[in-house]
Order: sequence, then C-alpha cells, then structure tokens
Amino acid sequence: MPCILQRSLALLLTIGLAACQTPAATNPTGVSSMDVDSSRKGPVSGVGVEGQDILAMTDQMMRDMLAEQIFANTGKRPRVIIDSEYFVNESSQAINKNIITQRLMVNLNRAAKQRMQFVNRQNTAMVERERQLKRGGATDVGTTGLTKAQMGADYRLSGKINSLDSRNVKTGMVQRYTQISFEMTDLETAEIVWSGIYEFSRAAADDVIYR
Amino acid sequence: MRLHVAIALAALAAGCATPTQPTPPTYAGCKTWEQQVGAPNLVGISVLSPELAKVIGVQDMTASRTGTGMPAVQTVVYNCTDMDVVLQIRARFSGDRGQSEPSSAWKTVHLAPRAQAVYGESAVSQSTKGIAVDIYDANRGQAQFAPGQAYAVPKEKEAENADEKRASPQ
Repeated sequence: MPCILQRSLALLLTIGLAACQTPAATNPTGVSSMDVDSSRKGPVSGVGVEGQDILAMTDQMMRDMLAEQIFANTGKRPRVIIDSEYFVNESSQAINKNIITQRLMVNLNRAAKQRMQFVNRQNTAMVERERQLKRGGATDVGTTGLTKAQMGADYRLSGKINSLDSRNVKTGMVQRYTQISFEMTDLETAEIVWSGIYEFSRAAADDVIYR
Repeated sequence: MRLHVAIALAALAAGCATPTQPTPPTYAGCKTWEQQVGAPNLVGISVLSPELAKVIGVQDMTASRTGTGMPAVQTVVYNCTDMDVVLQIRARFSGDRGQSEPSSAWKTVHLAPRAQAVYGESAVSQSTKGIAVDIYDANRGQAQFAPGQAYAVPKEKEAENADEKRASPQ
C-alpha cells in the first residue's frame, strides 16, 4: 500500500512539473522587433550611410541654408527646386537618393515657408493636366485663380555621394570614407550660391549589408 | 607541495596585475565635467553619459545670432585623456512657450587626445530665447529598457543599500 501511495505521489509531482513548464520557444536565437531611435546608431550598423546620417546631414544642411544671406527674410522669397534629379550617387553603396532630398525639402518647407518658395518640378505633368482640365472647361477654375504659367525657379539643388573603401584582407576589417556634398545653383547664371558637405569615416568587421 | 607552488604563483600574479578602471586616466590639471558641474557659465550644458563626465570638459558656451538673425550657440569641448574620444552633441532651443522647434540632430564631434573642438548650431526659429546643449557618448549603442530583464546594480547604489541596512533598526 505505501508503495502505491509513493508511486501516485511521484506521478502527481511529474504531472505538476510538466504543467508548470514554459512551452519551448520556436525561434530561440531570434530577436523580437523593437522601436529604435532613428537619430542614433541602432543595433545593426555598418560603415555606410545610415538612418542617423540622413537625419544629421539634412538637419545640418537645412540650418546652414537658413543661415545664408540669400535666403534671409527679405520678402522676396526666392523659388527653389529640391529633388533628387541632379543628386548623383557615385559611392560604393546602393542608396535611394530620395530619402535625402525628400527629408531636406520637407524640413526646409516647414521651417522656411515664409522665406522661400518650393517648386514641385517632379510633378510638372500632374500640374499641367489639372491646368488643361481647368482651361478646357472640364472643371471649374478652383479658388486660388489661374496663372499664366507654372512657376519658374531661381535655384536648384544638386549634389554628389562619393566614397573611398579600404579593406584589410587579413582581419576582414573594412574602412569607408563617405562624402556627401550639396550645392544650390542659380538657374540663370549657373553660380553656386550655397554649398554644404557632410562626411564621415567608419571602420568595422561586421557582416552588415545595405539594401 | 604542488598546491603551495600554485598558491604562490597566483599571489604573485595578483600582485603584478595593473589595476584597471572603466575610463582612461586624465592628465594632471585638466578639469573634467565631473568637476565643472554647476558652473554658472555652463548651466545650459548636460553631459548625459557618466563615463564621459570623467574624461571630457567644457570650456565655454556662448550664444549669438547668425547673419540672417537666427539664434546660434557655440560650445568648446576638450579631451582630458590620451585616447581619442567621439562625442555626439545636439542643441535644444526653447521660447516663451516651451520648445520653439525640434531639437537639432546629433552631430558627431571627434576629440583627438588632449585636443579641443568647437560645436556650433543655429536655430531655425527666431522666437528662440533659451538654448541647451546635450553631450553624449557616440560609441554607446542603444540599450533599451524592457520589462522582465535583469539589470546590474551600480556599485554606488550597492554601497548605499548596505549603509541603509546597517543604519536601520533590526
């Protein structure tokens, strides 16, 4: 009888322990997703242009441009085109250039709407179609009135992304110097009225790939 | 006999080991941020990394206006060690109703051994009245708080807890 009691107790304990066990993780080596501060280096970082660089360079260029005399609040509001049409990537890293020019344009537009006018040259066809509809009588003329033509611009942004790579074949260590230059050109005289540069060097032996 | 020899060797090795600390030593006469905190000309500056406060110092912080009338700030930081130090610095601008514009992006500033560097930033809003500067360690990764994790107790806190236990009546 005591033997049966002992066995029953052992069985109960085993069942109890099994019930308390946490189910095994399906991906024990995985890392759950997390929100990362995009203004600082994140957990996956290499030697190329990263999110924190986009934020830093666009912020730096915006502040620098607004400190420039030609964009001072004189009431003239010069017209500017800021897009990636003349922004060239000659670096070893594949990068969507729009990510740079778009952030610069949005930040400038929000900070300096009173001081400069932003011309949307990327969507000229979209504007032209609406103009034709208004003039053809398919739609009414809207509320802001008609203009003779679309805006002509005074200045346009251009720039270049360049890089210089070196690798230590023994250690696998990679070093990259990246240089991103910005220029604002007068669209009548071709004078460069403002320029800015963002550059950095990084070294690592990590397996980070930029896509 | 073998045991005695092993103990003697271990004691010798322990005696020869150079003591280490988590931050590089500073050169004599260099005033670090730890010794500067509360200085009246540096009230707008915050060094957010405790280790950094032991190795760098801030010489000055001046406010001015750019050619287009925008408020600007300039800060001189210096390195008290013989190691390269990389900083991230940003400026926060405030007006009469609190923050006048978003903080500037973090700017990387490299400090060569025993060298100094100038950090400058200008505001985009003319309504700026106050300027604050944050200094952070550029090589510190993002470590996020998450419930359910265990965190090491800092040594100072451990000592404080021990003192409290000793002082409290049993």
